[in-house]
Amino acid sequence: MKILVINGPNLNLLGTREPEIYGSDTLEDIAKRCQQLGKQRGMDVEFRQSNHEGTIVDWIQEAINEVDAIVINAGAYTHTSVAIHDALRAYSGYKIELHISNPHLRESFRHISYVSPTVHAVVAGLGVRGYDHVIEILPDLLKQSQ
Amino acid sequence: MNTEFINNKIILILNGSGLADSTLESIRALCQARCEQADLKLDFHQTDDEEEMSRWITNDSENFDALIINPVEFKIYRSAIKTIAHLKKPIIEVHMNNIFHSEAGLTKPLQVPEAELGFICGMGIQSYLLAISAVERRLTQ
Repeated sequence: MKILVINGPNLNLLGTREPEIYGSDTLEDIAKRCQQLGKQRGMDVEFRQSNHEGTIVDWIQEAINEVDAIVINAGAYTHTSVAIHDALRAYSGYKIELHISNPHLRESFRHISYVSPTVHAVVAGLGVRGYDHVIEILPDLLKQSQ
Repeated sequence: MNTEFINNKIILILNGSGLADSTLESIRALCQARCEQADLKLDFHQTDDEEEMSRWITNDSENFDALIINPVEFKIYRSAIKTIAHLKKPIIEVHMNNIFHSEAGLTKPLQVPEAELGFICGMGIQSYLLAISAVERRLTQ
């Protein structure tokens, strides 16, 4: 089972950028935990981050027919990117949108998500541990969606 | 307080109207099993009366440590959440369906910036189980 976790712009700053919102774990800490949790469940977790919209579109396209599930935290592109929306529509595997904070509690420009209508499930506001919880529950979700 | 639970922590799970009885029973059974595993006490309710749900939230706020709520299509309970926001108890809004799909109607996520509010949708019954895992971690931090 192959899982691709995609992180969008500014998530490379995790642990240093507004820790009161995003926590003190770095993205590398999260990646290690996800890979370990995946391994324990027979899943190969590929964990990536990019600040570039086109790179994220490329990764989603490359995942078509190659990856069983995508977990995507598109960061601020969530609220702007029709290109990522279209790429996710083209990917027919299982898709989860993830956010560390809850965008609906923040500025109104974060209330619209171009990602949400394209995915199976949305998880937000559970902190950095949201990643752990999503990886832990993915085997059950994949079973349920078959 | 029930001493058989190591943490003595209570999760209140509230459900609005519109869930089939059989679905609700499956949810209750799975949540109960998951809470026992996590040493959490479960208080599980459903109502078709939106004001009753609001009363449960505000009146019971001393008796739960975390709240998981599937409002289905309820809206006015927002003011109840606002009332208890200062208590900083973890609250998670869950939906079984993805409410952002165009066929899902007009349900919007709860917006109470003062509250510690998580959001999960689209995972079926697993939405509740993920919420319990998140609450378990948060309460044992």
